[in-house]
Parts: sequence; C-alpha cells; structure tokens
Amino acid sequence: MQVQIYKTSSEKHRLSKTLTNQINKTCHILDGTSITDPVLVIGYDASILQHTYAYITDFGRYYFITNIEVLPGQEIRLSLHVDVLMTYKDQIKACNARVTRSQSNYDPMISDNLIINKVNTNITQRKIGSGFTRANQYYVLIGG
Amino acid sequence: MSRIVQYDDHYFLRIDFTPENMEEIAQYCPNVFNKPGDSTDPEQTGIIVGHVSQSNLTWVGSFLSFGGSLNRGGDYLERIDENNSRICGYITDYNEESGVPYIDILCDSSGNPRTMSDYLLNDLGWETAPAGTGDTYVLGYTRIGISIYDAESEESCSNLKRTGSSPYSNFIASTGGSAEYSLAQLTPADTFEASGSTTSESRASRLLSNFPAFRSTAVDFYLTASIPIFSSVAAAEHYIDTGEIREGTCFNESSMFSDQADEDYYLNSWTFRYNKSKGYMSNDNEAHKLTIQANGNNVKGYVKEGDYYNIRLQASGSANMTWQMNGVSYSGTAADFNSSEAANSFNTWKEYTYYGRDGFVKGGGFKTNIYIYANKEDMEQAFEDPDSVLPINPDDVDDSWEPGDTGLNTDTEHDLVSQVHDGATGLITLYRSTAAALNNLGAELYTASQSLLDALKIYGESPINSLISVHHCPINLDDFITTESASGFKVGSHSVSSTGVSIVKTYGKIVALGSTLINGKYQDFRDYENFDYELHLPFSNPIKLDASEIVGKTLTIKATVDPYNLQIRYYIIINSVVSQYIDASFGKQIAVLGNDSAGKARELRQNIASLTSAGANVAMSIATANPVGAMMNIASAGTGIVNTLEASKREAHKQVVGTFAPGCAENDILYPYLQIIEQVSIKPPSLETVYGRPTNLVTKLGNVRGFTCAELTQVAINCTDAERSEIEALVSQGIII
Repeated sequence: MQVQIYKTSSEKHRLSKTLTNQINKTCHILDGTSITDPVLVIGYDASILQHTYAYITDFGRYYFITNIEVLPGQEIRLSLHVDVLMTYKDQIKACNARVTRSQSNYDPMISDNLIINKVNTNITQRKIGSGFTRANQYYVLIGG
Repeated sequence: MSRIVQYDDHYFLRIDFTPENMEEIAQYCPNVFNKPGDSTDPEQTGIIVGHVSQSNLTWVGSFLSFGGSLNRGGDYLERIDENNSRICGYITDYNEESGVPYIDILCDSSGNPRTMSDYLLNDLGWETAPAGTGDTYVLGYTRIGISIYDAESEESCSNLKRTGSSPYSNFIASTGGSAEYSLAQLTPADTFEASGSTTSESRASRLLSNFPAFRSTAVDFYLTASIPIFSSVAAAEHYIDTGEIREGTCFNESSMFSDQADEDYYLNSWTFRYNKSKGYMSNDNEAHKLTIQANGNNVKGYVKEGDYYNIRLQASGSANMTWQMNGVSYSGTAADFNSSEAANSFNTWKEYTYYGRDGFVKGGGFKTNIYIYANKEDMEQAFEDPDSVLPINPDDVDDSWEPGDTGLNTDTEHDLVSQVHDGATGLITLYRSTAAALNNLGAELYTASQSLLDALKIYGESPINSLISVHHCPINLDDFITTESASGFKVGSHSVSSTGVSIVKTYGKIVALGSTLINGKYQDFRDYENFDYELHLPFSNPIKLDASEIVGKTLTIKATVDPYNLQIRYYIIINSVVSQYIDASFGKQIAVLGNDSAGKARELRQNIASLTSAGANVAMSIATANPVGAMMNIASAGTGIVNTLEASKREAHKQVVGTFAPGCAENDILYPYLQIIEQVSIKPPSLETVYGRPTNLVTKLGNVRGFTCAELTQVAINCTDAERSEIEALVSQGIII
C-alpha cells in the first residue's frame, strides 16, 4: 500500500492544511488496523522522523501522525489518526450550519463574553448648549 | 395618494405633496423639484418659486428666487457654518389635510384632470385657446413655499442666511399679462431672467407662492431647487447635523434622479470629527455621497482597517463608467475608477483610526448597495465566484416587513410649538424688578399713604397683602418671556413709580437649549452595555438615560418657563421624538408677612409652598430700611416662627407664607450637560482572528472565512459515524476556514 508522508505546520483545526516535503513510501498495515486510526510499518528512513502528516490513497483520507516508533530490523511504525477536516473539507464547506462565532461575518451588537470588563471607569461630561445666563432679578406678582 | 374634492363650484384632484408622491406630482407639474438637490454652493441654490395666475382675462406670471446680486446670476445667500458643507431648505406655508401637504388639480366630477384649453373656453369664455393648452392641466388653489429659516425657533435650520446688509433682495420677475386673451408662461433661464418687467424687494427668508386662490397652467408652477429640500424643519436639521437624509423626507434627493439600473451603485456615509482637546464635536464636517453608473461593470468593496479612509472600492469590467462624489461628476474606465479618490478615499466607518494631532474620525455608519467584504482577498475572490464568500452586508440580513399598524406616525418635536400666554390679566400683574425697584416698593408699602390704603381696601388693612408672591430669579428669562417697560408698579389702583421695572406680557416660548449627537465609541455592544448616561439639567436632579434609546441619536433639550412660580419644564427630545419631560423649580420665593385675619390674603395668594418641618429659611427683608426686617431676624423658620410670632402677640394670625422652593439651587451649573460613565473593557487586539466574534448566521460554512465556530445539524458527509461526531465537535469548538 502506498502512503504519502508530509510535513505541515498548519493549525490542527485549520480546514485546509499546507503540506510540504512529500515523501512517497510503500507500507504494510497490521492485521485488524482501523481505517480511522491505522498503524503502518515502513522501511527505516531517517528523514521521515521529522514528518507529521500522511495521506493513504487506498483509504482516501488524510492523517495526523500521532506516534513514530523505530522498530528493530530497520522499520518504523507509524500510528495515525484521521484528519476529518482536511479529508472532508469540501463537503464540510457545503454544509449548512448556524455560525456562532466568526472572524469574517460577525455582528458587533451581540454581547461577547471574551471582551472583559475592568473594575475602573472613565467619566466624561459633555456640555449641551450654552445654557442660561446669570441674572439677579425679582418677579413680583401684585394684585391690580 | 389622490382624491376628488369639491369647492368653489369646481372639482379638484387633491394630490399629496410629499416626497414619496413625486411621480404623481410630476405628471401634472413637471417643474416641481425637477432636478437633483446636490449643490453645496450657497450662491447657486437654484431655489425658484413661481406660478402663472389668472385674474379676469389677464394672465400674469411671476417667480421668486433668492437671487439679488447685481448681476442677478446668483443667490444672495451664504453659509452660516463654513466647516459644514451641507445646505438645504424645507417647504413651508402649505395647504395641508391631516398634516399632509397637498396641491389641487382642476378636474371633472370623475377625477379626470381638465386641460387648460377646456378651462379657458368653457369657464372663462375665451373664443379660442392658445396652441399647446390642450396638453396642459390646470393647477387649482395651491399655496406652498420654500424657507431657509425656522420662524418658530428663530434660527436657521438650513445652514444658510441672507448675505450682506440692507437692502435684502429677492429676485422677482413678472411676465406676460398685459393683453386680454393672452396666456403668460414662465421660462426662467439660468440667470433667473425672464421676459417682462423685473423688480427687487425685501423679503424674509422664505419664498412663497401667492396666497390668494389662483389658477395656472400646472406646467408653469415652479417649485424647484438645486439643494436638498425637505418636507419638515426636523428633517432639514437632521441632515445639516448628520448628513443623513431620512427616507421619504427629501423632495429632490440625488438618487431619485439617477436612472437606477441594476448595475448602478450608491454609497452614502456620515461621519464626524472628534477633537480630544476641545471635546466632542457633534457636527458632521464631511458629507459623503457617492453614486456610480457602472454601465455593466461590477463594483465591490472591502474594509481596509487602520486607514483614515477605510472603505476601498474596486470596479471590474470593460465599460466606461461615470460616478458622482459629493456633487462632482467624473467618468472613465474601470481602471480610472479604481485609481480615483472615490475608490480609494471614501470616508466611512469601520473602526476608529487615529488621525492627526487633534483627534480622529468616527463614523456614524454607511448605507450602500455595494457588497462590502471583510478584506481585499475576500473581495477579489467574490469577483471570481460571488457565491464562495459572504460580504459583511448580505441581502437577507434584517429582512423586515411592515406590520400594518394603524394610526398616523407623528413627528412630535415638530408639534412642540411655542404658545403665547398672557402675563398680565388686569386683576393681577407679574412684574420683573431690580432689587432697587423692590426696595422702593417695600418702602411705599410699609409706609403706606392714605391713597394707598384706600386703593387696597379690598385686601384689608395691610398693604403688604397686595403682594401675592415675590421670587428671586437667578437666571435671565428674556428668551422665554416678553416684557414691556413700565414706569413702576401698580398696586391696586395706586401707582408706585420706580425705574428698573417691566411687566411680563407673555410667556410660553419653547427654547432649544442645545443638542448633541451621541455616537457609540466602539460601534459594538459595549456602547449599550458598558455606558451609563446621566443627564444633568440646571435645577434638576440627574436623570438616567437608557443607552439603547440615545446611542446613535441626537439628543436635544428644549425648555419652557412659568415665570409666575419660577418653574421650568425641560423636554428631552431624541431624534425629533419628545421622549420625556422634566419639571423643576428654580430661584427662591421670598417669604412675605401677611395679615391673614380675614382669610382674604390666603385666597388671593398663589400656591405658595407651605412650611416644612425640615426648616424653611425665611428670607431676610429685602428692603434694608424696612422695620419689619429687624423684627424678622430669625435664622430658621418652621413652626418655630409661627410660635414665636403667636407668642409675641404682636399681630394676630400672622404667618410666614413663603419658603425656598424645593430643589432650587441658585449656585447650580447653568447649562445642561451629559455625564458619560464608561465601564472600561479589554478587547484583545486580535480577538477576531483567534476566537472570532459572536454572530447568528445560518449559511454554508464555505461562505465565511477565518476562525469559525458553528453548530452543524445537517452533516451530509459520506463518512463514518465516529468521523461525523468528530467533525461536529471540531466545528463547534472552532475551525479555521
């Protein structure tokens, strides 16, 4: 079975990862391995030890390399876990969803508990018009 | 919009004269508001009021303009605030029905408009009708005008005033009318000249159509301008203050004249400059109005954060296009537009940006039919695939509908009008007096001559009982009342001569004390949740205002005064709606000793506050030479005074009848001010990028960008159940799209 192994520094929760340094390898899988958490054995190649990502064509999935074990007999055992975001990114984008937080389309008038209040206050005073002028007058109401 | 009415032995088609009904008006009166009001030149306002009127067999045409300069080419007007580019006018002195202005078109009983030739031949008995009159209609009894001055508030609402010294001049031109059976027609040229005689005359700041009933060719009814003309003073003032043209209030808004095709765009915004050293400046210094005839080109925009002018526009396409920005027209290719000021320097709002040393520009908002995207990359992607990215102003947000309420909306500030109440009734008279004049009065009363005693027999023995009330007023009330100079006081039928006395003739004026525009500081929820607003009015306790009612709105304070009792009523007006009123008293009432033995004084005296157990300070004698002053040298009053007087038995049934009015404070600050208390908050600078911000959007996830948290309820993905659960969990916690 063929496996492509990559390096990536993209965030784990990014939908579409940037993959570099592709290395193609032939591998065999252990009996009873899961399609979402496969364990592969490949021939020893020191350059693979710095790689963190993989794609298995037969499974049609992308994987995080969760563990690398160097085995006796010049073999490397890779433990993988499926990256569902990269694998199904186009289908995920096509899903309808209720977006609750967004970087691009947010409503600033909805309260955000991540904007935290401090205990101090700012006080300003704004004059409205010039008001009255002082005077010293008397108003006398007289019969007549 | 129109209905048939009958009067003057004729039928008329009564048509609403409102901005929403301009299409119907233009059918009959093509020279009514027939050009866009986008000029900002006070000398070229283009205001014309004109008509052709008929009397017997003679037709005379005349029109008025504000022109009066020597060459008659320009208007004799100037801008009041040079820092504010906006000028406007409003209609005035119009016939109205249920508050709605109207014009009447002569018609038959079925509502069919009658032509001029039909009217001339059948009503006036002309033998022949001039050519062309068969295609024109008859304007009936109509009265309307344009003003630049609010007579009620006695101040400009238009940022315009007449120029120069006397003589003020309007330009009036007359035409035709010299011969019988001849029909005058108005053809004003750009220089406002027309055939016939011309005169100039002094006028107020209004141009009015003729008052008496008149019949005219409707086509010769001129009411037009090159500046915005509004349906009310309030709408005009709001435009001058904020640059916003409220929907349905402007007769000749520019957008009404552009041939709006699907590819035409507009972008209106309003902003103000905040001066940190001088304080908040509420007036909008820049009016921003952009219209684009794209002729098939596509125009989109994005927000470029951190710049002074932070909306960027971009056009795409091969057509030549034209655009108008603040009244100036441009043309060119899409590339020309993209390098223009309109595309790169259009001032609007997204976020505060520090600008210059004095302050920075804040925005009030913008209104547009151009899709604006969160950043340049989104905008460029939208050009390629519009469905792949959502703008920040999509179409289906806040899709409201008319609830179909009954009742008539009203502009309550406009209905708050000054009244005229008489200050003197013939039985009692209210005087305004200096202290010296009051001394003279006191001396006369306390050393009463026989003639004074005879004049005051109705009051009993003591002349002092003629004084119903005496108040000390710490502020000037000239704006609220009218007075008439007097030679002294009239006590009953006895005159007490003195200078420094005037009679209060009328009161009831409503005076605008000031206004302020309150824009949100953050343009987000914190403007409502983190701010407390306290309104401090002179002589009143602070009033808490609800942030949701005033943020983004103009707060205006008006007041009226009752000089009898020195009471003031403040009207708190928010965006032309009278929100609440606050009553307060000011000054102090001077206590006056009175003989109440007959009970007559109590009957005559006005509603004077009674003694309180907290202690009512008795005013010392205001007449320094008054012997009563020596007797009344008491620090505090209350029941103690009454007991003292009763105990002394000097005179029976004396009681102090005045106290300081509660709430008065003569040392108060004498201007209204708004105290703004902000709970300081911390917004991380990269919050949007790292955690996004709240929203309530239902859309395809592919339509949004960046950090996104969402609830997935329809996961239509071909995957295992465990993978589906993991997808839902990850999207809920947040992913980066």
